[in-house]
This record gives sequence, structure tokens and C-alpha cells, in this order.
Amino acid sequence: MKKIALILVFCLIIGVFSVGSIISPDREFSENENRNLTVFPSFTAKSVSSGNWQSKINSWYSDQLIGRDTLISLKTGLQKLCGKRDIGGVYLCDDGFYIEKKLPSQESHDIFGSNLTAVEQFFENNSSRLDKAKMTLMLVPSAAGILEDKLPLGAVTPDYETAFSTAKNLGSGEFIDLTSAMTENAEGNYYKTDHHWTTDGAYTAYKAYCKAKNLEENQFFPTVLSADFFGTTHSKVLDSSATPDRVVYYKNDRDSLYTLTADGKETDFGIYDFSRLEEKDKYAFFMGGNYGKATIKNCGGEGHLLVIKDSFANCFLPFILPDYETVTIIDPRYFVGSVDETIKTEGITEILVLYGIDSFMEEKTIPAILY
Amino acid sequence: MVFSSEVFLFGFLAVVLPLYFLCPKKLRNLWLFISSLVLFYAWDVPSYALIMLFTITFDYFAGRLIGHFHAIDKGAFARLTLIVTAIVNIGMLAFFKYTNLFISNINNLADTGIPLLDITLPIGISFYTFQTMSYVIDVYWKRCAVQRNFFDFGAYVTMFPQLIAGPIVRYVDVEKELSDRRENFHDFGSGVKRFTYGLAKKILIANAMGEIWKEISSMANPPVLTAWLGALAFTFHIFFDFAGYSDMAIGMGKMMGFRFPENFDLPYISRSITEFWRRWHMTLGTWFREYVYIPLGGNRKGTKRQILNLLIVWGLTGFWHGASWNFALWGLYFGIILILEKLFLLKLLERLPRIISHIYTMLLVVLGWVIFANENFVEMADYLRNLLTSPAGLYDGYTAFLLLSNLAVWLLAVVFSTSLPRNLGEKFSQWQEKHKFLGILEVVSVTALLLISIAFMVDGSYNPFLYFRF
Repeated sequence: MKKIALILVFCLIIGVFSVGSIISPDREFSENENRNLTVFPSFTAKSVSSGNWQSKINSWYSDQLIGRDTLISLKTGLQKLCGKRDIGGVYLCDDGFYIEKKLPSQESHDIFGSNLTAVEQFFENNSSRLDKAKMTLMLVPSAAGILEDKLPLGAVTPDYETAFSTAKNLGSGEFIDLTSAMTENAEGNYYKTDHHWTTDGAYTAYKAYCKAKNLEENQFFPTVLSADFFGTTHSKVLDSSATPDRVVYYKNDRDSLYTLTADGKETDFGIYDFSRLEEKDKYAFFMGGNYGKATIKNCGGEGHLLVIKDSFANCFLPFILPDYETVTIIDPRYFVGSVDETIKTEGITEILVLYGIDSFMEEKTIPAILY
Repeated sequence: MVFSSEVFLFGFLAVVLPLYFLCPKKLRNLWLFISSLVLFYAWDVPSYALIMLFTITFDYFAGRLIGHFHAIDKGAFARLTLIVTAIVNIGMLAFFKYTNLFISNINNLADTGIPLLDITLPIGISFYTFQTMSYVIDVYWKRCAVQRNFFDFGAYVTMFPQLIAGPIVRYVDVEKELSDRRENFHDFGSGVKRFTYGLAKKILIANAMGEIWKEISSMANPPVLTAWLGALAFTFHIFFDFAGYSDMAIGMGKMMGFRFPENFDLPYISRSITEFWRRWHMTLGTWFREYVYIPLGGNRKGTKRQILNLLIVWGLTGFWHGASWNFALWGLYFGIILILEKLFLLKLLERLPRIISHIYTMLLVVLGWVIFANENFVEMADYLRNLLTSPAGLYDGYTAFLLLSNLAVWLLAVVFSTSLPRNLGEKFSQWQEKHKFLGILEVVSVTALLLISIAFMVDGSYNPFLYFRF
């Protein structure tokens, strides 16, 4: 009797998952994972003999399994119950914070060193064209560094202190140290469910930036866009008890006048893509994401700024746009071309290198672009 | 195809098992052969199936030929056939598995630049080669009858439960069941339970321990206690991975009426290395004993010859595990300890308190795993040194984190390495005799275990892509 029950349970579970996955229509995109899911591959003789079809089927079964996201939330719930404090590469921290887990390593230490040297060399190479005061490096401290007291007991972080003190000794150009600025009102400066800084955090950095460069601050009006933001670190954990973040932007009169040309095509939304607020990745509201090369025109000021950056710059740049006429943005991960050419031919008058400290310790694409 | 994957559980099994039971009994071996060869084995790399098919065909005819020569009383020809078959089989295994090791060693020693062969190891070849060899050798020794039906023989070799990762099923183990087995609800239900336990061991414990090992092994110089946690993590990882697979194999075999031999019997409760190797990967030990140790003379030709035989067997056992010299070292390491135990150490251990002999055994086993886990001898030496003394000190905050954050898995791993669950299980069965309703508890826990395993399995493919999608 008991054996029959076991057999029924087994057949039921196998049956529901297999039939359910086949009949339910394929999802093409996973909001949580921010990637395209494998759809059922077409059956051709060539793809089968090469093993390609089979490997796509393997992925298809995983990606399209019925109840996938629910199952993952279940798993996270169980792990939390058992006291696990690092899930999917994210630390489960106090006060509802989900902070990326980065371990100290020789490799990240080396990559940081080579990136710093590359920037130094880059500034040095351009010191004949531009004043050293017009070439700036700004590295944004990560949540793990600033909110260290919220990390679970025993958690480790890379040696940010050494990294920042090394950067302070930048041989060419200027380095802006944001550590003390970000420590004030630390909790408001970082998202709980995303690895980026909040717009408030970017604004704090903007104030420090103006102070360092002796500039007058432009006027902005903070406006709440959404109270329903679940970001990247949430995606990695899928904790059903997570509380969402607020997304704020700092409005100013010139916003609607900016034009953004991204990888050759002009966007129809300027620098703020309101349609992204309907999706999960609301951080993409800022500039619509990352491009190899983007140009923002009609900013209302003077001069042409070149920015080499990662996604952290996206919510910071609107603060400094009014100071320039044009701003050109290059992301080394996607850019194909020559930065040197750009500087020569497009009349660049100022350079800003802006990175989150974690990607500055991981990105290998920077030196090649700058040399 | 991997057992702990969605495509296997919800694609392969969902199709193959029902069709197996819908087949009339006479056709079940045929279905098993075809589905295992074409859908299971050829799935990932179609060309490997051709290699296995060649081995099956060759050994099928070898078996028939040997039987024929025995029947017409030409023992010498039978022997010749056996030798040729052995050379072809072992030759193929050696070619695919060890050629590149051989070439790179020559390059290192003679400073030549011979290019490595662009071949990959057909999965499971170490297992199925040993299985087909067991058949041919046992036919020669007249320990089993010749299998005249090609598809029945094929089914023996390819049947998916034991094809990729064992247990190493000798032909004599399933000879009778190949032609005469009775699938029934009791065995199927039993098989479901066993399969679920195996799946849980692999996904919930082995994979988690694997993650911990991966993290610690990539640290340049972990503090001493962290290094020990890493060694322990690997110790648990390899056991629950392998034992889990064996459980799944045995469970699925049972569903279809086969009784495969056990492969693991709580190896980590052993109190001597001799005992350990009677509890760990038992089918491999049996194979080497039956087909190498005993034919070499075993212990019947004096102590000196016995020591030599043991060294040969253990060198080969180690080397079978992988085409890298650390595996051979690992085998010889145990070979030497076993010889010492046989000579005098065992008697000494029997006089010591049980806890001492248990610690002695586990220490040697864990150190053995460090040798096994590091193919690079420099890294191996560094790791062994970190177990004694490390530039990073005795421990740091992260050591505690690794222990605490994963506490549940550590506890599960320790508990399920002991005989406690088995004893409790037996008690529970006794209670069930008196109170039938307790059976519900068992069904509920198997269901929960299956669903939880599936949830953790799905997570393996969960892959958030942080940056802007193209």
C-alpha cells in the first residue's frame, strides 16, 4: 500500500513537471535573470549530429521548467531557515540589504593595479592636450565597503582601503575620494536590492565632486519614480521576504532638452527612459542602459566632456551635464573604436573616468581601450 | 546525460520508463538497449556511442568465440581470443584516457614538442570497459554461460542506470535477471525511495560541499582551519556525489527488476584503511580482486609476492581514477598503508580504543583526498602545508562564516556519514509494522525530499546576467 503511494507520488511529480513544461508556452525572457531564456530548438539533422540540438534541449528543460522561479524562491527560503547567509553570490545582510559577495583575491588586486596604471598613463598621454585639472578619476565605494557593519558575521570584503589609498597617489590627473562622503547617511546611498548606488548616493557624490573642483552646484528637484524596485542582488537571491527599493531622480529644467545618441541611433526618450519603470530592471531608466559609445548634446553649458565609465555613472552624469555643451560616454565593455581618435577629432575639453570600485577591480577591458 | 538534471528526470525518464513497462517482457531488454545507447549515452556526444557499440559488438563475438573453443576443446584458442580481446578493450581505454598524459610526459622528459591528440574521453569508458571485460573473462573461466542474444548483451552493457558512474556490475551479478526478472510494485516503490535518497545526497549535500571546496581551493593561502574545512568539504563532496549516484543507479535498476550490487557501506565509520576499502567503491575493489589480485596469486605465493601484488593492484586502482600522476600516488599511498596494516598495524589498531582508530583512519582518508583533489603537485604540497601552518594564520572571521553559513549542510553531511540514519530507519520500520499509518510519514518525507531536490537542482541553471542585455 505504502509502496503504491510512493509510486504514485513519483509518477505524479515526474508527470506534472514533464508534461507541464512541455504544454506551458515558452517564456522568452526572464525578468529576474535579465537574460533571454532558451526556447525549444528546431529539429534538424545537422543540429542533432553535432550535438547542438541536444545541448539546447538540456538548457530548454532547465530554463522552461514549470514553476522555476517559485522553486528557486522555495530553495532560498529553506536556505535562510538553515542559517545560510550567502546565496547566489550575495550576502544576506541586516536591515534588508542584499550586498554582493566579493572575496579578496590576488587577481582582483592585480587587475586594480593594472587599471590604475592604465588610467594614469592615459592621463599622462593627454597632458599635452588637456590641463591635469581637467582629467579626473572617481571611484565609487561599494556597499560592502561602506555598509560593512551590516554584513553577516565573518563576511570578508576585498581590501578597499588599500585600493583607495593607492588611488589617492595617482601620478597624473586628479583623484576624487568619495569614501567619507558616502559614509554619511550611508544607508540612503545604496540600494538594498541592487548593487548600484542610489540617486541620493550619486547626489552626495556630486556635492563632493563640486567641492573638490570648486564648482557651483546646479539646481535639482528630487522626484520619486517608483517604490517597487527589485534590483540585481534581489535577482540573484529571489528572497520572497525582500522589501523593494525606491527609485528617485533629480529633475531639472533642461532634462527634456537633452538628446542622446546611442551607438549611432538617437533615442526617443532623451536621457531618461520612463518605459523601463514598467520593467524589473528599473535602474535602466537612467540613459536606457549601457552603450559602447553615446553622445548627449544640447546640455546648455560649455565644453565637451569625455566619460569612460561603467553603469555607476548613469545616475551621476545628469548632475554634471548642465556644465557642458556635449558629453560623450564610452563603456569599454562594448566600445569598438579608438578613444584616442575620439579625443583628437571630437574636440574633447575634459575627461572623467568613473567606475564602481568592484568593477574597477574586475574589468579587464579598460587598459586596451586607453592605450 | 546527467542524472540530476531536468532533461534526465522530466525528459528521458518520463518517456523511457513508461515505454519500458508498456513493452511486452520479451522486448524490454531491447528497449533498454536502444534507449540507453541512443537517447541516454549518445545524447551529449553521438560519436561516443559508436565507440561503445564497437566494444559491445567485439566483446559479444569474443564471448561466443571463447564458448565455441571451449565446446570443441581448443582451450589455447579460447585463451588467445581472451588475450586479444583484453588488448583491444584495455587498449582502447588506454588510448582515449592515457595517451595525452603519455605524450606530455615524454615532452617534459625529452624536451620534444609532440602535439597532444585532439580527443576527449568517451564518458563512462572506464566503467563499461571493466564491465565487458568481466563478461569475457568469466566466460573464459566458465563462471557464466555465453550470452547468445546480442541485444541482451547490449542491454547489460548500456543499461542507463549504471552506465556512466557505476556501480561496476559484473555480468555474473545480473546474468539471471537479464533473462528472468519480475518487475513488481514492491521493488519499484523501493527503487523510488532509493533513487530519491541518492538524488538528495547529490543535490543537497554533494553540490553544496562542492561549492565550499571550490571557494576554499581557489584561495591562495587559506588559514589552517579553513584549509581543513576545505579538505573536509572535498571529503564529503566526493562521498555524497559518488554514493548518491550509486543510490540513484541502484534505485532505478530496482524499478526495472535488477538487483545491482551495493557500492558504498558507510565508509567514513571505518576504523582502519583495510576496513575503509571494504566499504568504499566496493564494486571496484571486487573487480580488481577478482580479475587482477587473485590471478596474480593474491596472498597464496608468500608475503613478498603478496606485497608486490598489492602494490600493482593499488597503483592500477589509483591510476584508473584519472589520467594524472596524483591519482597513481593516491592509489600507492593506500597500497602502502594497507600493506603496513596487514603486516602489523591492524593488530595494533584492534588494541586501541575505537575513537583513536577512527581518527587515525579519517585522518589518512582526508589527507588522501587532498592528494586526489590536486593534480598539480606544487598546489598539492602547498595545500598540505597549509593544513599544518599557513601564512594567513590559524583562522580568521571567514573561517567561522564558512562553518556557520553552511552549518545545516555540515551537520547533514556528518550525520549521513554515520550509521545513525540507518539505525533510525530500522527502528522506524519496526514501528511501522505495528502502526501502519506511519507509512504516510515515509511517503510524505520522500515527496518533500524529491521536491526540495528539484528546487535546488533548478537553481543550478539559474543564471542572472547583470549587465545590459544585447
